Parts: sequence; structure tokens; C-alpha cells
Amino acid sequence: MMNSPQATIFIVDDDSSVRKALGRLLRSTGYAVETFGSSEEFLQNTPDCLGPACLILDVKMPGLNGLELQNRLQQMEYIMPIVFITGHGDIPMSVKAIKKGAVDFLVKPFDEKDLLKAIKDALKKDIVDRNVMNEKQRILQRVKLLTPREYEILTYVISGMLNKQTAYELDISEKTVKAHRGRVMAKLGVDSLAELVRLAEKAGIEPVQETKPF
Amino acid sequence: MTFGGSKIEKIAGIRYIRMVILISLGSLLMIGNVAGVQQPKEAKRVLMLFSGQKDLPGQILAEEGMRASLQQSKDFKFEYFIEYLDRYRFSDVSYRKSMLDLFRTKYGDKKIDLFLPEGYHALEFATAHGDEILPQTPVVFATILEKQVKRLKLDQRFTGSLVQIDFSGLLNIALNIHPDTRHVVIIAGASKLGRSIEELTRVVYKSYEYRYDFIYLGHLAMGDMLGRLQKLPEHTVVLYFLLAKDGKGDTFKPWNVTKMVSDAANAPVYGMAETYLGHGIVGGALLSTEASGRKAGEIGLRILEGENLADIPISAEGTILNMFDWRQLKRWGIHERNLPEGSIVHYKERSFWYLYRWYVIGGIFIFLFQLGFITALLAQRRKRRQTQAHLRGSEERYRVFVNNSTEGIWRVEFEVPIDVDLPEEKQFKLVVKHAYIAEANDAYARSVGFDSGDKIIGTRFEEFIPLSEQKNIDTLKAWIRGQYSILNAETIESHKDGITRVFLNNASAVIEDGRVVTVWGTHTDITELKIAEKNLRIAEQKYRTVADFTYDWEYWMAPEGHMLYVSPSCERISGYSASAFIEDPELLERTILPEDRQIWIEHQIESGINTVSAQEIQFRIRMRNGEVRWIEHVRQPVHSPDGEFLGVRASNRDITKRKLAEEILDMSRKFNYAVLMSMKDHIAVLDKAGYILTVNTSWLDFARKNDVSSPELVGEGINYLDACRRVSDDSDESAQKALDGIKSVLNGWQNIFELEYPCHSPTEQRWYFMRVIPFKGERGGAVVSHADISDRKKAENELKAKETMLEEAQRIAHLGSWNWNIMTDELSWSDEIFRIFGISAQEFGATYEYFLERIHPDDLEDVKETIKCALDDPSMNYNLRHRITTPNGKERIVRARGKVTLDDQGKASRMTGTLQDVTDITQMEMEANKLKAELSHLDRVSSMGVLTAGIAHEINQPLTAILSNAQAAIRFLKKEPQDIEEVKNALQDIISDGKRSGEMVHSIRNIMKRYEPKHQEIDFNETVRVVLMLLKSEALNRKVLLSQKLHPDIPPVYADRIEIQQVALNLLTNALEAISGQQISNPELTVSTQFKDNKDVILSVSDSGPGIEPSRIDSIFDAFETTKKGGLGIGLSICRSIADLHGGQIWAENRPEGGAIFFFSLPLRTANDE
Repeated sequence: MMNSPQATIFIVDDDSSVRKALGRLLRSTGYAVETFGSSEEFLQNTPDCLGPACLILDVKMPGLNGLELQNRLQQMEYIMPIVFITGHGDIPMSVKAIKKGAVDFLVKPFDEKDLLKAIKDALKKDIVDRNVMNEKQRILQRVKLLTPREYEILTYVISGMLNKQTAYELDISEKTVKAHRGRVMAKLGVDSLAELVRLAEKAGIEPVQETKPF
Repeated sequence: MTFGGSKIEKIAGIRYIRMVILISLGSLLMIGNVAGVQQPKEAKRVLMLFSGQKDLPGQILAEEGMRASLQQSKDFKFEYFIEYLDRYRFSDVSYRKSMLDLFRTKYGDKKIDLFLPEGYHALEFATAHGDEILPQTPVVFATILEKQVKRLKLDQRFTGSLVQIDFSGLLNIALNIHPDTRHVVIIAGASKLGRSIEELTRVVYKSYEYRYDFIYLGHLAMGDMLGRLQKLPEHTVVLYFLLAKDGKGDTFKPWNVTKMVSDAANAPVYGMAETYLGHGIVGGALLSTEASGRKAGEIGLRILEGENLADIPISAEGTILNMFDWRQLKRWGIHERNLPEGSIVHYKERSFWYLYRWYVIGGIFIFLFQLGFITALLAQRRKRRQTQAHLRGSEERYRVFVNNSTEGIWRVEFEVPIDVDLPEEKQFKLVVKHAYIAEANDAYARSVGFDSGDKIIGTRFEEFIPLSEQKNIDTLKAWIRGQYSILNAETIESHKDGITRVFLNNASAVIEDGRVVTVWGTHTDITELKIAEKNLRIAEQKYRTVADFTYDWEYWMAPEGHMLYVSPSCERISGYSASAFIEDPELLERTILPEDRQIWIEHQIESGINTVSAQEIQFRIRMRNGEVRWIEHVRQPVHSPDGEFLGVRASNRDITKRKLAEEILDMSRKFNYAVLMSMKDHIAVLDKAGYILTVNTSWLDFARKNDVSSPELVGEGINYLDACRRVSDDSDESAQKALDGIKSVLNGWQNIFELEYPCHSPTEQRWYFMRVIPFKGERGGAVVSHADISDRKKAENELKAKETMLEEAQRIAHLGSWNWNIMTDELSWSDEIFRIFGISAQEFGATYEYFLERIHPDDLEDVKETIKCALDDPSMNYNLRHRITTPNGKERIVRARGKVTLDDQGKASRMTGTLQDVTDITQMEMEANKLKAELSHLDRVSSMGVLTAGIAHEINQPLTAILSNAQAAIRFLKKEPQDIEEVKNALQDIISDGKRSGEMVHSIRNIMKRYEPKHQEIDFNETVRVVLMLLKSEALNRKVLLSQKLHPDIPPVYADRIEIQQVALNLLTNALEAISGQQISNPELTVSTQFKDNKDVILSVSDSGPGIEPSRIDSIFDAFETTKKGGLGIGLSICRSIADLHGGQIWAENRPEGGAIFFFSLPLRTANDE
């Protein structure tokens, strides 16, 4: 496996000896390592690195624990793959973490083999994530071209509503809806409804919710 | 005394007077009305609310009173709103509701300025709904009893006038009017109020009971009661309070019953209330609703005039009036002067004069006026005629008069007229020389011994008035000095027969040109009078001589009222001199004390007007020096032999000493009686034959309470010997003994007889002590007293029972007592100690030495040492557990306690104490200790169980680090070039992590293992820190913020480390579970150690949990008290026993900011303190 020399591993653990030992191990395998004693310390100095990176996160910590830090980072749209380590993990906890996008969940004490594999996976994911991120950035650039009315029509379209329904909901003519829809497709550079839906999904645009009948 | 007419008469009277004034001043008033602009009166609305229906007499009077007061106002005129609650006939809730609705409708938006509720129900209605209906209106109530008011909550908007029942006033009035009263009948009926009134009379009249016989008729049916009233004994008065319900339960109107009672009773009836007056009661101190109403009206007016309601107190002042019915006074022959001062007499029947006096006076006045006028007209004519007639008849009448007069009339002429300006002596000589009788009537002639006046004409003056009598010379000179005119001058004249007589002369002279020409005179023979006077003087002299030396204060008062004589002894008795009494005849009456003056006046009337002898009276006078003396006064009228009233002779005797002696005697009699009555012992006085003369209250009470003997059987007049005999016939042994004893005392064979005997009642065990003491003297007799000694007997029996019990208790408790006389080395043991030592009393050598022999050899030194300590320092109690060996070789454990007693010199003389066989107990204790240790261990294990997950984590941490470091070291070694520095660091870290996990495991093992507690000096903080280490991870697991504040300078503590850790562990795990079981934001747990006052080390654990239920705050340390699911409930109880063992304390509190805080304190001590 080739380790890109610029890959950085961030370790957040409240136990200094664990922190120190993990750092030493990862350094011995050639990664750059940065350690933090608590979630708060990490949040205060959120690293902004260009190269691939991942986060080794202890679940149980005073203050913000690992899972909470994961949530917080997602809210911040800070994208970095996470490998959780824990003194004793239970299955529901690990499922929760994985669902939220964690790469792996290791139970202490763990073997270096498992750790290094998880790190490798995480770094790989980081590269993909970065690409996706770039695409999303591009789509959002285009979405910005839409007028508010067009954006509104877009949310109706991706919800699967027919033009007729949309017109009724917005109290405009079906013809107007059609016209807007055409302009949205043109501006976003798509040809089909399926493409439009996929693009909206990538850009994280939420479809409009159906209103209540009364 | 005020004599009020009936109300109608009064009003009529006022009207009449007003009319007269109106007629006479009519024109003036008219002018006044035109001239004075009268201020218009401000209109005020008054709401009167009455408790009952419209026609209740008391209410009608109260309303009259209220209106009368309000009508007095100068500033206001009133609009009246009158409502009747009719509460006595309608009392259900729906009625009250509709009544309230009516009030809302009528007064909801009407401004009422004054609210006058009458009676309890009206006031109750006002307090309940006043805020709603009349929120601002001042409330002034009337005619409510104080105890009724107390039931209600009155705010400061309320004041008013109470009424009261004057129990003692009523009784005293009746007793004063009828001083010979012996029986008092009380009627109050069987209604609720009636019964409570009857109760009150029993209390208030208690002090009268020994003088008057009270008869209560409240429990009888109406018919029976009226029957009883018809046959009351003599000297009875009836007090009628009320009768709303009779003994049968029939209801009546109290004022109607008044008439029934008064008609039936053969004794005067006195009543409670004004409304009874006119229905047959004599009167009394009456509760006046009219007065109460009037007072409420006055108060209302004061409030409307701006006075502060809060300043007006609630009182019953002025609502009791002494009122009487004139007709009843007549019926019972009661004189008005016997009524209390200020009494009002109603229903007076007027005499013709009283009723029509104004007409009569008017008629007479007119008649007199006319008569006067006519007389004046006639007078003129008559006068003229009279003058003429007078002139004609004058001469003739003179002659007839002179000749027929029984008085001697004479005229003297002088041969030579005498110049009245000449010196007296000269004139005297000339008179003697020249005066002769010129004219004399027959009466004069007769008085000097002749039969006709003509026969003595020309006779010389001197012949009849001999100058040998100095008296005559004096009279003549006085005559001359008076220019020959004189009145009542005495002369001693010689009778023709040589008899000397005394005459009283009047003379009048005719003087012309300064010379006396002739003198007219009259004379009367007063010889007899003079003799009488002289005799009288002699008699009086004699009387005085006697009276002056009397010891009593004698006086003689003339019929006209002045003192003729007062004996000097009055000064000794009264301090005033005799002359003081003579100068001031009223002085005597003034010296009499005001309260006794009535006696004096009555006596005077009796004896003075009738001029008959009266009985002696006694009264007190105040001496001049202020001292008070008792006087016995006796008087007789004095008559002359021919029956003429000459005045009153009286004698005042100082009886102060006698009175004092009487009073003392009376008091001592009362005292003896009171003492007898107040004795708790039952006392009877027997005469010689054994008849009961008197008994005391206790005796009667006992007889009354005792079902066996009724008062008739052993009360006054009963032969007590017979009573005893009767009982002894029922084979009562003690009665026979008592009988013999009493007999022997009565017969004088024995000076005292005493007997203790049981007398059990069905419900109670009783004993009595009987004592018979004879009366000395001829009459003999004895006093028998029975004292209740049940308490003493019971105490004696109880003591016996207790002694038995004590012995039994010693046996059961295996506890004996001992007493060691150190001086004599005598050791006495209770039976139980012999039993414990397994020997009999005979075997025991009864010495200290023998006792020591029985002690287990290993404990002997200890025992000796402890005893020595106690003897050296008696404040040190002997308290020791040691083993003994019984003769059959068995080992027993005993607990010995004892105390040293010092003799007068402060030397240890005696030692007493107990000894208890505690073999079984000790064995049980050991078992219990073992169990306790097990339990304690179980508790520690279960506490650790809570922490398992956390502890696993804590062990995993160093393991993880060790593993990673080892793998890193290998990699660094494999690297080219080798990074030795990194390898070295890695190995260093491995070592410290290895140690860390080792320590962890060690601590866990320590806590988990079974052990023998061992006290040693430990570092308190360090001990606590180990627990914190074990707990840290679990706290994190449960998201609890665990903080610690450990005092840096805590000296080493002498304690068992594991036990301290167990306490900390328990407190911390409890707190952890308390917080994490709840939905608490920011759960916190703080552990701190303190060093307080340089003597106590304190561990406290506070949490931000829900706290402890206050009711459980003390019980949580009890075993099996748990709210935790799955908890054993022994943790805190073990903590408490640990605290106890360390001489420390454990307690819990709730923090004011929420959550609980537990404290565990240890006294700072060293091994030496153990």
C-alpha cells in the first residue's frame, strides 16, 4: 500500500498515555500525527489540511464525547473520516457511529493491524469525499443562477409533483410552471427529470413536502 | 329612684309638655323659623337586618332603640331599610341562597351607609356575605352574646353592642329584696342555650350554695314544673332565665312562659330579660335589647360623624337595666326603697292626683285667681264699714276686756310727774315716794288679796312690791331705765295674807313733755310656774349628776330636735365633746357611716314619729380621729307625768369590742366549717349515742357516689352505730371492728380508735383508714373520719410486686447485684450471682479473695487493675467484661459493673454493682460480627459491581497504551536507521502503564477481599483518591461531571483504610445512581475533604440529583431502606456502623440549590486514643 507522505492522522483521546502511545505507533508507520486531549481542544483548532487526513476519536471523554464531536463536525460540514476507538463498545453505539459515517469502530486494546487498516480505509474515503465535495461545489455554483421562483419550482419538480399540481399549489398557470421548469433545466445543464433529481440530491436540495388537503 | 311610667305614658307626657311649650312660645318659634336658615340634613341609608321574624318582642325593642339613637342626629336624616332573616323558622340552604339573591337584587347597586345586624344570625349573614353585598359599609351589630361573637370572624369593619346575662346581679337583687330567702329556684329549660345557662348558674352560684338551697327545674316537663312552682316552700325566690324547650321536648316562646311561671309560682319570680317584664315577673337585672339597640345606634351615628370604627370597642356596657313591675311590687309587698338605686319601675297605677294633678292645679289656680279678684273688689267697702264700727265699739270693748281679763291690769299715776331725764337713783326715790295705784281690775286685786279693784285704788306701790326684796328693786330700776316700759319683768309681791307670790309684769308708760304721767301695766301670777321650774331644775340637776358620770353616752333630745343634754362620755366614745353635739344636733347622724345611716333613719322614724320605745339598733360611727366604732343605740320617749312628750332620751353604748369578738367568733365558726368541708377525708360528727350530727362534703360525696350506701343511710340524723351494725350483719368483719371501736371511744374506754379496712367498689380497689377521736366534755360524742388510703395501699402492693418482679427480672436477665463492704471485706451477692457462679450461698466464702479465685487466670490481672483504678479514682466506674470458671470447670463470660461509695472522710468504703452472665450474648455478638463482616463484604462487592464497566475501561486504557507502545518500539527497531530514542521512550511508558494497571488491580483486590479490619494511620485524601480512580470512568459513562476538592493539609488519620474506602465508595455510587437515574441536565458530583476545627476530618459527597425526601432523611441510614432497584439497602447502614466504630458520624442534608449532600466525619485520633 502506498502511504502518501502528506497524510495526517488526528488523534483525540483524554488519556494521555493512550494518546502518546498511538501517536508513537502511527509515527513509526510514517504518518504525520497531531494529538488533542479533548473534543473541545480539537474544535478550537480545527485543522485545515489539503492532503488526505483522518480522525482517530475516543468515544468516552469528559465534556463532548466522541459521538457528539462527530455530530458537531457534520453540522459544521467539516468532512473528515473518523475511526472510533473505545474502552468497551457496545453494538448499538457502534451502529450509530457507523451510520453517521464513521469508517470503523475499534475496541481497546486493539491490534496495530486493525488500526492501520481502518486508517487506510479512512484515508481512501477522504479522497473520495473530497471529490464529491468538489462536485457539489460545482452544482451549487449553478443553482445560485436560479431566481427564487425558479428554485421554488425546482423543489416542486423534484418532489415528483406534476406541473398541474404545482400550478395549483402556487396559484399560477400550468404554462408558467412549464416555462420555469424549462429555464431551471437549462440553467442547471440537465436534460432529463432523472438527471435533475440526481443533481438536486447531490447538492442537498430538499424536495418540497406535500401540503395537507385542508 | 326614678319612677318611669309605662312607655305610652312617658310619650304622652312628653307630648303634653311639648304642646304647652308650642302654645306659649308659638310666636317666638315662628320668628325663629323665618330668621334662622336651618342647614339641610344629609340623607343616609341604614339597613337593619334582624335575625328572626318580624314580631319577636326583643327585636321590636332593639329596633326602637336603634331608631331612637339615630333620630338624635343633628346632621343626618335617615332612610330605613328593614329586613328580617326569619332564621329561626327557616334554616335550609336553599332558603339562604334565595335570601342572598334577594339581597343582591335589592342592595347590589344601592349605597348603604350603615349596616345594623341584630342578633347572631344577622351578624353571621353579615360576616359571610357583607363583603359581597355591602363591601364598604360599616357594620354595627346589636344584641349578641359575647360567646356567639367569638364564633365569628370579624374584620375591622365590624363593631357593635353585646348583651349579657347578669347572673350575680339577678340573684343579688332577689336576695336583697327578700333577705330571708332560703331556697332559690332556677328555671332555664332544656334547650341548648337553656342548658348552657343552667351550667353557668351552677358555676356562678357555687359560692352561694352553702347558704341557699338551689332547686333546678330545667329537666321537668312544663306541667310538672308548674305543679312544683305552686307548692314551693316558704322563703323561696324563682329566677326565670328562659324556657324554650321543656324536659319533654315541647317548645315554647320564653316570654309566653314568663306568664305561666309567674301565675303558677307561689313565690316572687325574677327574670333575665326586659321582654319578660309585664308578664308577671317582679323584675331584676334585665338584659335589655332596647338598650343594646340604642347603643348600636349611637355607635353607628358616631361612625357616620367620622369617628374611626376601629377605636370603638365591642362591649356589653349599659345593656343591663334594673327594672321592676310596680304591680308585682304591690303583689309581693315590696317597698320601692328596697330596690337598688337607679331602678326603673314600670306599670305604675296612678292615683287620681297623679293622673290629673295638672288639671287640679290648673283648676285651683283659676279659682284662687277669681277669688282674689272678687275679694279685692269687696275689700274697699268692708274697710270703710269696719272703721266706723271699730270707733263705736272701742271704748265699750276696752272696758269689758279690762274687767273680764283674768290677767291683772293696773295703772299707776304719780303725785308729781317724774322727769325721765333725772338720774336713775333719783327717779327711783321719786317713784317710791309718789307712785300710787290709780286704776286696777278685779283680777289684780284678787292677786294681792282683795276682792275688787276699786278697793286698792290709791294704795302705794311699795305696799304690794316690798323693797325688802332685792329682786323688786332690780325690776323697778330696770323699769325706770326702760323709761317706764318693760316686758316680762318679775316682781315678788306681798299678798294681803302675807304670802309672797311671784308675778310677771308688763308695763307701758305715757310720757308727756319728758315726764312720766301714768303707766299701764299687767301682771300674771307665775308663782306655781316658778315652783315647778325650780323642781325641774333640781330634777335635772339630779339627772345630770347621774348622767354625767355614766359610762355610756347619754343624751336627751327635745321634741323640737335640739339636744337638751349630752353626757360627757360622748367624747370618749365619739371624740366629739358634748357641746359639739348640742350646738350641732345633726352631728350624731353625720358621724354614722353612710352604709349604716339607713338603719338610723328608719329607727328614728319608728321611734320618733310614734314616740314609742323602739328596739335597740346597732350601727357604726366614725370617730373624730377617723376610727370606726360599733354603737348600740337605745332610746325611749320621755313623757311628763301628765303625758306631755318631752323628747327622747337615748343611750349610745360602745360595743366595738363585743362586735369584734362576735366577728372573730363568727369567722372562727366559718373557718371551722370551711375546714371541715374542705377536708378530703370523710368526716362525721357523732353525738354520745352515735347519731350523726353533721358530715362534711367529702362524706356526702362518697355516700352519693357509693352505690351501697345512700345519703339517707349515713347522712345527718342517722345513728351511725346502727348503720355499722347493718353492714356487719352482712358478715362484714371490719364493720364489726369499727362498731366496737366507735362504741369504746363513745363510752370513754378508749382515747382513739384506728382501723385500716378494705372497701372495694365494683370498679376499683379501695382501702380506708378510719379514726375515731372523742370529744372532751360532758356532751361527749366523737369525730369519725375515713381517709382514702387506696393510693398508699396500692403503692405498697406495687412495691411488693416490684420487688418480686425485680428478683424475677434478675433471674431472667442473668443479672445479679452485689455489694462489697471494703472495710469488713464482706461481699454479698444476690441469688442470681450465685446461680451464675454455679455455687450455692453456703459454699461461698463471701470475701473478695474468693471472688478473685473464680476469675479466669488470663483475666485476673485485668480485673484487679480495673478495681484498683475504681478505688483510686471513684469517678472511674468499674465496667469490665471477663471470664470466670465455675466449680465444675465451665467457662463463663460476665459483664461486671460497679461504683465506689465514699465515707465521710472521702475514703472508699463500699462498692456496689451488677454482674451479668453475658456468655450467650458474647457468643451471639461474635456471630453477629462475623455476619456483619460478611454483609460488609457483600456490600463492597455489590458496590464494585456498579463500577465494573468503568473499571474495565480503566484497565483497558493502560493495556491499549502498552500494546501500542510495544508495537511502535518494534517498528522503530526495524527501521533503518533504528530510532533508539523512540524505543527507549516507548519502553519507559510501558513500564509506567504497567505499574498503573497493577495499582488498579491491587486496589480492586483490596476492596473485594475478605479481611480483618485493622486501624492504622492512613492518608485520608489518598484513600479517597483510590475510590475516585475506580469511579472516574463510570462517572464518565454516565456523563456525570465528577469534581474533587481535597483539602491539602489533612494530617494522617487513625482508621481502617478499606472501611473508609467502603464509605466513600457507597456514598459515591449512591450519588452516581441518584443522578444518572434521573433526567437531569448537567449532572454533577463533587467530592471534597475538609479538616474542621483542627479536630474533625470530613468527607462530603454532594450531587445535583433530586435530593432526599425530607421524611426519609434520617431513616436512610437504617438497614434495608432502599429506593434503588436491586439495591440491598444495607450500604448506608454499614457506613453508619463504620462511622460508629471510628467514633465518627454520618449524616445527610438536602442542598438549598438542589440535590443531596452526605457527610462523613472522623475525629482526628491516634492509636493511643483507642
